[in-house]
Amino acid sequence: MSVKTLLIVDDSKVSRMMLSALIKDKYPELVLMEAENADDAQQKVEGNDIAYFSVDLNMPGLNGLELIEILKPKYPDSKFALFTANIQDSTHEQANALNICCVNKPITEESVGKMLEYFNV
Amino acid sequence: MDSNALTIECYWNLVNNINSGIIVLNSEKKILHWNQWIQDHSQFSLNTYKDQLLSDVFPDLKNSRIIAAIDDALELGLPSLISNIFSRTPFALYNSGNFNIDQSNNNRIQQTVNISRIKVEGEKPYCLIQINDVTASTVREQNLEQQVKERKEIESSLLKIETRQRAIMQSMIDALIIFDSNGFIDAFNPAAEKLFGYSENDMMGDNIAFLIEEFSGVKELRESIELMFELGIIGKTKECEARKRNGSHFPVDISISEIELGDEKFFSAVIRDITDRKQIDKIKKDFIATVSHELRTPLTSIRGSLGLLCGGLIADVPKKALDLIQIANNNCERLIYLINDILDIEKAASGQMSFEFRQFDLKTLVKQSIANNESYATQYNVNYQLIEMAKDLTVEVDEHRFQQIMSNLLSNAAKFSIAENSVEIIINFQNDFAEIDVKDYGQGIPDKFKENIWNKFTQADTSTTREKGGTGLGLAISKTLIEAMHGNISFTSKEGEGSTFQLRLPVAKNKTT
Amino acid sequence: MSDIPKLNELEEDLLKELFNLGVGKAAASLSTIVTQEILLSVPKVEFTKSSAMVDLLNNNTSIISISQSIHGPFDAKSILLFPEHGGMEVVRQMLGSQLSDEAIADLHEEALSEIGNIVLNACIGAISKSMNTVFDVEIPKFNQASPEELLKVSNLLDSDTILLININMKLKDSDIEGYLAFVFSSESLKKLQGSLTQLIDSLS
Repeated sequence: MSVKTLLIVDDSKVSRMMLSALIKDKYPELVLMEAENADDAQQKVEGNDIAYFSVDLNMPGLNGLELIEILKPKYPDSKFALFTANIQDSTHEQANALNICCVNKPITEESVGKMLEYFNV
Repeated sequence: MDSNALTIECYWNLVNNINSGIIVLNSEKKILHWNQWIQDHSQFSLNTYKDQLLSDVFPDLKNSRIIAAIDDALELGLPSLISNIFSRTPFALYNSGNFNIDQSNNNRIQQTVNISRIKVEGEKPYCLIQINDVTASTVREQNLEQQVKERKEIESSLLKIETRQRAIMQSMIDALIIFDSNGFIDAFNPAAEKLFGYSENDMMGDNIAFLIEEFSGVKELRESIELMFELGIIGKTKECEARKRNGSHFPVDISISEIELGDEKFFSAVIRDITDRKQIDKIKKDFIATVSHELRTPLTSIRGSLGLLCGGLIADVPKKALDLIQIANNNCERLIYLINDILDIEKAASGQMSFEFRQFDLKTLVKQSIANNESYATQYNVNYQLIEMAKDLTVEVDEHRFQQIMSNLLSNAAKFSIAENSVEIIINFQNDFAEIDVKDYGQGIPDKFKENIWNKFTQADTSTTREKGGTGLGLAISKTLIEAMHGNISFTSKEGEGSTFQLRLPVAKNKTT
Repeated sequence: MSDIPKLNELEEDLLKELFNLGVGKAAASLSTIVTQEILLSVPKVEFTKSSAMVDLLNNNTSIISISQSIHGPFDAKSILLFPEHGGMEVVRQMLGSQLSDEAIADLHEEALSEIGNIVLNACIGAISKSMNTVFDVEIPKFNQASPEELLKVSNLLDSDTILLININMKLKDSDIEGYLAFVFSSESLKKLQGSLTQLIDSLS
C-alpha cells in the first residue's frame, strides 16, 4: 500500500499541533504536511500528490472554502474536509455545493474521528 | 425555630406566593418542583408531572434555547438571561381565561426566563428556572411604538407642508413679510430682502413699523397694527411709502391680510414697488394737464369768436355767411365736448378723477336730471316720464358725475326714440341696490353691436353720428363713472322695439315706512 | 507595579483559538435568535494593565459593559465592552430598523445584557471545556458610563492583569469593534498561566 499524504491547512499553530497529534494517534502511517494559509498551501502542494486535505475556514487571505475551490479540480480523487468554529447555515450550504465534509471545531478526538471516517483512510 | 428552618419556611412561602414561575430540575432535566404560579398558568398540577422530563411536559422546548441554556447551567455552571426581546413565548403558559381557546402561541403570556445552576455540596447540580410574565409591559411598549410611529408620520407631513410653504415664500417674486400682532417680523422672504436691502436675519424680531413711513412716528409697537386697521390697510391694498436700508424712500402697494393660527394672530404683507407705475401715472397726469390747456385754450378762443359772430353783436353777417359760421360754431362745440370726454375717460381710468361723494335722495337727483335734459328731449318730440316703484332711497354719489351719466342715458334714449314717444325713467329697489331704468321705445340695438356697446368710439352705425351727433364715448364714460361710484350698468334691447338701460347703485340708507 | 506577562507564540495562538471557538459559538447562537448572519472574530489577544485599557477606551465618552464574574480554580471577571455608539448599533441591527429610536433606547439595556450573556457564556464555556473545569458564574451586570467610572464600578485594581481580546462583530450593514476583557488578580493570573502551560505541554 502506497504511503498517503494528508495536508493540514490552519493559521493557528496550536490547531495544527492538535490535529497532527490526534491524527498520528489513529493513523501513524500517514505522512502529514502543514500549511499556515492558502498561499502557503498552494506552494506546498506543487509537485506533490496529496490524498487528504484538512482545511480551516477562517484564515487570513483566501478562506478555506475559496482554497478548496481552487485545489479540488487539481485533485479530483482526493478528499477535502472543512474545519470551522463558526458553523452557519450558509457555510453548510457552500460545503454541500462543493461536495466536501464540514466538521465543527473544537478539535477533539471526536471531531477528528469524524473527519477521518469521511476520508475512509 | 432555628435559622435553617426559618430559611426553609421563608423559601417555601416565597416560592409559592411569588408572582413568577419557579421550576427546579435535577441534573437529568427532570422536574423536581414547580410553584403555584406555574400550576395556575399551565393548568398542570405538580403531582401529575413531577419526575417527568421538562421537554416532555413542554414539548416545543426541544431543540430550543431553553434546553441549551439548561445544559449550559448543569454542565458548565453558566447562567442565562432570556429576555422577551428575542424569544417571546418559549413556555406554553397562559393567563386564566385563555385556556379554553385554541392553545396557539398567540395566547401565551409574554415571558422573560432566567436559568441558573444550584450547587449543593456533595450532590449533582440542580437547575433553577424563573419565568416572569411581561405581557403588560409588552403591550404598553407596542402602544408606545404605535404612538411614536403616528407622531413621526404627523411630523413628516408637517415637515412636507412646511417645506412647501417655505419654497413658495422663497420663490415668490413679490416681497412677503409676516409679522405678529405687535408688528414683530417673523418671516422675511428673499424678494423682501432684495427690495429693502436687509437680510432675513437682520429683520427677524425687528418691527415692520421700521420699514413703512406711515408708521414711523408710532411709539407703541402695537399701535401700528391698530393704525393699519384704522387706515383700512388690513384686507385691502394700500399705497404707502417704504424705507430702504440705504435710507431712500420709495412708493409701494401693500396688501396685508390677517392669519389666525389657533390663539395667535399673524399678518402677512405682500409689498410691491410701484415706483415705475407712479412715474407713468405722473407722465399721464402731466399729459392730461398739457392737453387740457393746450387744446382747450385755442378752441375756447375760437368758439368765443364764432359765438360773437353768430350772435350778430359784432356786425351784421349775411345769411349765407351766418349759416357757415353756425356750422363752424357747432363743430367747435363738438370738438370741445370730445376733448372733455377724452380727458374725462383718461382721468377716470388713471384714477386722476376726483370724486366728491355725498348722500342724496335718489328721487331728487333723478328729477333734476330730467329737468336738465328736458329741452334736449323736446328737440326730438320726446317726453320723460318718471315712475317711482320704490320710495325713499338714498345713495352716495358725486352729484356732477351722476348727472353726467344720467344726461348720457337720457339723451341717448331721446335721440334714438321714435318721435312723440315717451321715455320712461323707473326708480326701483332690488337686491340691496337702487336701480334706475331708462326705457325707450325706439330703434333698439342690433345684436351685432351689443357686445361692443361699452367700447370707446362705438356707435351702432356711423351714419347716426352724422345724423344724431355724439362722440360715441358716452357709454364708455358712463360705465367707468358708475363703477367708480360702486355701482354698475347694464342694458337689454330688441331691434325695432326699444332699449332699457339699467343703472344700479348701492343704497346708503333705506328709510322704511 | 507588577510586570505585564508576555504571551509566547504558542500561548497566544492557543488563547486566540480558544476565544475564536468561543465567539464562533456565540455568533452561531446570535444568528439563530435574529435570523441574520452574524460573524464574530478575534483579531488580537494580549495581556495589559487596567490603566492601559482605560487609556485605550478613553477616546469614547461612554462605554457599555456587560460583566460576569467567575469563581473556581481561579477567579476572574469577564467583561464585554462596546463604545456606546457601537453597542447601540448592535441593538439597532439586531432588533430591526423599523423600531423607533425611542424603543431602541428603551430596550437596549435588556438586549445588550442578553447578547453579552451569550458571548460571555460561550467564552467562559470554551475556557471551562479546554481546562476541564467548571466555574461558578454570576449573572450578567449591565453598565453604561465613562471609562473612568467603569474602572471604579468594576473594582479594577492597579495590580490586576487584564487579558484583553479584540473582537470584531460583522452584521448585515455594520462592522462593530469591541473588547472582551478577562480581569485576573495576581493570584489568579499565576493559576491561569499554570493551566495554559499544562495545556500546551499536553499537545507536544
